[in-house]
Parts: sequence; C-alpha cells; structure tokens
Amino acid sequence: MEYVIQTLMGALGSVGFAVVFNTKGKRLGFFFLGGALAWAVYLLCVHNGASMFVGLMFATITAGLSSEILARVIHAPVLISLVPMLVPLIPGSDLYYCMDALIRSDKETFLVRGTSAITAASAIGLGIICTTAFSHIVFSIIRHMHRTAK
Amino acid sequence: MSTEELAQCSTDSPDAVLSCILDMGELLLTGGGEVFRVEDTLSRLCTAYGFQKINVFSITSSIVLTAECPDGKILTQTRRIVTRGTNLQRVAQVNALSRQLCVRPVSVAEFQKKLEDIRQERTYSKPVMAMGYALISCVFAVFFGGSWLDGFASAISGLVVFFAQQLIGRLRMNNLLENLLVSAFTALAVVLLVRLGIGHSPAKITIGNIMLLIPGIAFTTSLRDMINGDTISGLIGISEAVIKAIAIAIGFALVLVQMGGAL
Repeated sequence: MEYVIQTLMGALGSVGFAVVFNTKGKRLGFFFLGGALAWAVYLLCVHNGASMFVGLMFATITAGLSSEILARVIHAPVLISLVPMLVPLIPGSDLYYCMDALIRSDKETFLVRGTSAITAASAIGLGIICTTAFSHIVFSIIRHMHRTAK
Repeated sequence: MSTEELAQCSTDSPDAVLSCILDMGELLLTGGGEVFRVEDTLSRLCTAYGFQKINVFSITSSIVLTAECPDGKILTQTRRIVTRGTNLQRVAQVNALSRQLCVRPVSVAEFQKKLEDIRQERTYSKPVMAMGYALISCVFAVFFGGSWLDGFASAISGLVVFFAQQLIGRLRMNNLLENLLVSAFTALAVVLLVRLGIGHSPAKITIGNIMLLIPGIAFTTSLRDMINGDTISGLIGISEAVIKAIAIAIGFALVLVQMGGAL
C-alpha cells in the first residue's frame, strides 16, 4: 500500500513538473502513466535484489522507451515526455541530506549522500543514452525496411 | 516557394535568414532544449535555405553559426544565451516549425512572424503555476516518506517558494543571491509551520520544496550531455547546478543557524 501511494505521488509529481515546464493538454495524462511506470519498475528492480544503480537505469530505460513511443504518437520531441517522466527518479532526498550534512559539517553523511546522488544521476544519464542509441538503431532499421519494401 | 525563389531569398538577405535561423536556436536553448538538438536543427535549416558548408557550434550559453551563401560569400553570426529556463512547449513548437520549414521554406518576413508567434505563446497563468508548485511540494514530501500533514505543510511552503521567486525575481539581482534568498524564505516558512504544529518532520517538508529549488533535472541532463560527448555543455551545467545547490544550502543555513537547531 505504501508503495502504491509512493508511485501515485511520484506520478503526480511528473504532472506537476510538466505544468511548471509549460506542457499542455492531454499529454499530461501520458506523463502521469509514464512517471508511475518508471517508479514501479524501479521498485520492482530494487525489491528483487538489484542495486539502486541498476534499478534507476532500468526505470530510466522504461521512461525512455515510453517517451520514444509517445514522441511518435504526439509528434513532439522525446525530451518533452522524457523530462517529466524522469522526475520521480531524481535523487531529491540524497541532494537534500547532502546539503543538510554540509550545513551541519557532518562530512561522513555528506560524502555518503553526495556519492549516492552522483551515482543516481549517472544511472539516469546512462539509461537515457542507452535508450537513445537503441531507438536510433531500431528506427533506422524500420526506415530501411520501409525503403526496401518500396 | 520554389527552389529558385529560395536561392534568391538567401542571396538577397542571407544575413536576415541566418539571423532567423539563429533565433530558432536561441528559442530552443532558452526553452531547455539539448545542445545536440540545437546543432542538428540549425544545420538542417541552413541546408533547407540553400546554405553550404554549414558549421554550427553550440554550448548552453552560446551559438556560433558559419555558413556559405549560394553566391560564395561566407557569413558568421553568433548568439549569446544569458538566461535559460525550461519551457517544453516552446521546444516542441520550434521543433515542429523546423520540420515544417525543412520541407517547405518560407520567406524571411513569414519566418520572423512565425518566430514571434512562438515567443508570444502564452504560458500557464500565475495561479496555475502556483498550484503546480504546491502540488509538486506536497507529493514529493509524501513520496520521500512524510505524512499527509507534512505534505500539506509542504504545499504551503511550496506557495512561499513561488511567491518568493516572483518577488525576488523582480529585483533582478545576481542569480546566486536570488536562490539564496528564496531558500532562506522557504526555510523560514518551514520552521514557522512546524512551530505552529503544522507538519511533523521539517526534513520531509523541506525535501518537497527542495525538488522545486535544487537543480536535479539540470544535474541529470548535464551528466547525460557529458556521456553523450557534449563535454563543455555538461561541465557548464554541472558547475551551475553545484553552485546553485550551494547557494540554496547557504540560504537554508542562514535561517536554521539563526533559529537554532538543525532540520
């Protein structure tokens, strides 16, 4: 139940950021679903013993693939859907505790949380690159097949 | 427009055409578009308008564009990008316009009009934006383990973030100082809310607000830029994000040290 609430909250966060970033219309519903899906994948990975890095990477790949597909449905760049969908994955609490440790000059917590935030951001970055490369290859093949079919 | 007319257009006023193309890049960057998207879009547009030997170089704060006109003259224009935000609608619109122009280029006057239309595109009204801030704060306070009451408190301090940003933004001061003041106001609001008995955990309430302030998205996209090979843009983004985060931390520290007691 706790996880369901967390997932719903994360998805609402996606929609909130989409509004602040000035996206409009029925796309917001897709961002809700995408955000929820990404966080659900993360929870699933972590519960099955995967590390945070792997979990976040798979979650990012999920969000990335959803937005690659969505981009072709709504005819808008991938970025538009990807940024809101990734919002729940952003290491907000790590950044906060890192900052808090800095204020209290607690070097140990600062390092632990700081490393964790950088790891999370790298996992997301790597996930985005993997999806972009993958979809580039897939769509090139599809285009090529279309051309040879004609 | 036929190809001959088009060639005529870039020979008659190549400067104006190039300037319009750079405007597209500027709109993309100020709306939060990626660097590789800017470079790609500008090269495509230049090709569509009959320029040759196109060289585009862009980082997050500047664009340099050199191209050869059909008559052999070489032109260079640069654009400095000072402020950046995130306006995804704008990125989508520029992208759509660019696709349209690559298929069917239009005259300079029409190009300028279309650019102006994108610039004038309305953003959400202030009350809606404020509700967005409140929603984000509330959901992330709960998301990171706060109670519903913490969520409620966070929504209120989220509104404080919004109004503080609006107010302090008008003073047009240094970016760093602006972030410092906004976070100081937010910390003050959180401390007062908890003293009034609204919310249990100041840490969870603040995390909701931090999601609005801390450049988590900038941090993540900068790392992506670096992995992608746009090292300079990535470094600029990461440095900006880190400096901003420190400014925010100092803002919080100012209030918390005064109020005696950690979060």
